[in-house]
Amino acid sequence: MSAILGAALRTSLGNTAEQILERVAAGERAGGPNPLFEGETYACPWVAPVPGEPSRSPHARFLSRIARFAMDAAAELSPSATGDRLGLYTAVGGLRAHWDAFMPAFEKQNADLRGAWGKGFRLLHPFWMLQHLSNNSQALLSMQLDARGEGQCFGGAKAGAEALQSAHWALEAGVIDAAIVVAYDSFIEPECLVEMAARGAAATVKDPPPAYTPGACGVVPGEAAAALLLVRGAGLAVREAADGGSGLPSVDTLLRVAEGPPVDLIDGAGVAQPDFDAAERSALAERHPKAGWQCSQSALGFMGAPTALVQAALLDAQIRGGACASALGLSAAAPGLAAALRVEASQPRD
Amino acid sequence: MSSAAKVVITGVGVVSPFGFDRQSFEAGLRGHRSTVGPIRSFDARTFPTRVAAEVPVRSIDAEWLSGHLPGAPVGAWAEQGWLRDRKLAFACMAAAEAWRQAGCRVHEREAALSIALGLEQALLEDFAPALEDGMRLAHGEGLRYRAPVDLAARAIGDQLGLTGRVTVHTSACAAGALAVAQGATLIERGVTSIVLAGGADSMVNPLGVGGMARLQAPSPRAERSACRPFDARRDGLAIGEGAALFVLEHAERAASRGATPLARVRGWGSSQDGHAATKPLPDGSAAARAMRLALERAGRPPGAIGWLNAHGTGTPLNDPAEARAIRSVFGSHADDLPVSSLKGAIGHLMAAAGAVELAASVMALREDLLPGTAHHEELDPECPIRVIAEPTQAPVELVLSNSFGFGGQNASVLLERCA
Repeated sequence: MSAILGAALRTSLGNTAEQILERVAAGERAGGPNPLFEGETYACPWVAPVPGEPSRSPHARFLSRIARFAMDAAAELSPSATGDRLGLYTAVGGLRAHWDAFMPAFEKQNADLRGAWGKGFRLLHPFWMLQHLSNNSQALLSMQLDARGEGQCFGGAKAGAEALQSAHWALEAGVIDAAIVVAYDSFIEPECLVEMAARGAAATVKDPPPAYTPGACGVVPGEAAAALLLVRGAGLAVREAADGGSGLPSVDTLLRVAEGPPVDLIDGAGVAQPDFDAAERSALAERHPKAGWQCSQSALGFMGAPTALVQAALLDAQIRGGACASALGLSAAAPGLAAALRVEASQPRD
Repeated sequence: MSSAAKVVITGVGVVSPFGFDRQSFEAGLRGHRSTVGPIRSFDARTFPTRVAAEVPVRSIDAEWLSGHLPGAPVGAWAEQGWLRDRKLAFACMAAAEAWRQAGCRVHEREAALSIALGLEQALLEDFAPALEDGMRLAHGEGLRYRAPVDLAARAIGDQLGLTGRVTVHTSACAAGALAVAQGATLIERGVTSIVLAGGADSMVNPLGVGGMARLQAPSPRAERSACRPFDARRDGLAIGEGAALFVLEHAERAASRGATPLARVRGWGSSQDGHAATKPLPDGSAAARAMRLALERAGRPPGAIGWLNAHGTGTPLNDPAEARAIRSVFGSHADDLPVSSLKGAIGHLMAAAGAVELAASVMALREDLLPGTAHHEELDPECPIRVIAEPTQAPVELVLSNSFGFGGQNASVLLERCA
């Protein structure tokens, strides 16, 4: 296990766990028409963006908007360890083509790409390659935070859970004294909306019913960035299980990640598919009969890679606030894979 | 801190510029051949970078796939054309070979998958209809975006019927090594007892070559000797492509099913430069730390290393920084420690580099043959290490392999001979 010493978030409902919990308690759910680009022609008319814009940054050319939010969040953390003793683990939802960067290269091309260099590839920005590098944020964060210890970058919808787990293992091995884990993802991009709608994962109506309610018809595509500061100690554990399926994980897989002593609170996977939702609730109720139920992804929108970090921050805040003594956060974002994090009373923060 | 030395490699699969399997890869290294040459898989004549180390196939179609992935239930992946993507095809081929060599069967399907993947963009050929329509599809409709970074993992999983967890590594040029390190960690931690780990990449396409050319990272010379690691006349890297996958197992599991251990994953370490996004830390101190951590995990002193498989990109900045790191870690032993870089022979395989180069390390341990450094003729005085230019017969017990990625991510993996 590791202990959460600090958390910084950028979500559709706020930048701290307390802000988010207060707004959710007041009945808010993130979602609305797409403010980021012309969204009327897309099948997903309802999205949950992080409001506002990230700070101006000299690294803007290297990072997407949501990645810059992640840099802002990470800058709020105050690790006592630095340099070789501060590890850095990042989780990126996915690398997605950005049309604005491609257009100069493709506008005048022949279909068979004859003469490709002169017809456009020479117009690529000199740093285009670096701008799309998979570990840009890792590099820039290591500079910003003076984090030079062990670290890794992970990709995909459950990358946040992977990053948390790897940070924990490095802490336990004693190769670092503190770890910063940063995750970000955004599904509010044209190609994601197309793909999520096509496979039925995202709702194609305005103001869709939330997960675990009748009529749930898919998630609201969202985005988030999160940064956690971890140290050795008790409080946070991560577990994963897989079944090799190409769709949502089976109930058995969910139960495997939910193993352990019964908890007081469960933050559900929030897939918003009625059959899966019902099976999830039923199975978890048997294993954790006294647990209350909430769903941060239903309130915040589908977050992808940072889900585990956001859940960890929220559940940790709820435990500190006395709402519960232990909690389980579930995620079913990747095909055939389920992840869970268990949060218990952790070390007091400085 | 000492690794319990539980993790062994029982299967190795390689697709490289030398050919489509491990045998051709090892033969190429033994023969000290170089694969850098004119790009053939697309018309690169007008590009500033016109040479690369290509896997010897111009284009991958259904017929080619059926010949090179026989019997593999790749089904929809091939039908829908996904496997025409070079790195996906290479990943599947290397995975199949490793799986076969390890003698894996139904019971091994619980294996976890820890894979490194290169830069993922839309399938290039899908742009063709969009171009014919005058870029009407400006919002991406109809294009198959390879946005899921776990695409190769899913293809391999489907191909082999894997049911274990999947981890995708995106640490650029350090990703392949970190994928293997992560696989070993999963086994050491008792999360699983078998992992398929490695990496695949190909930047040999107009976007990859064009992007690298704009960055001015490749050598400006369109020559076979484009990449000259640690050489005084070096002037850039050569782009390569390929894949390497390994079956990693708990030693007891391997023994119980009669699998032959080929090498032991003894230690690993990683670090960040924290210096710049575009160039390495000049004093090599962070890279040195990754090497030291690998040695510490292995519980071995620097003097026990018999060969160092360097990152050695042949760029002006990487090589001296790495040399300083090696000197820092090994001290006077650096005068005797044989160091090689494979990148003069096979190019820089980016996310697959660490994995493919580890396959060479397995060969070195099994054959007591240290690959040479192609196109290295005159050691740069700024690189005070012992670079071996020619393949060298020498018994080795421990090999250290370095992978230092863009953005200053460093990884070192230590392999040990299996008795």
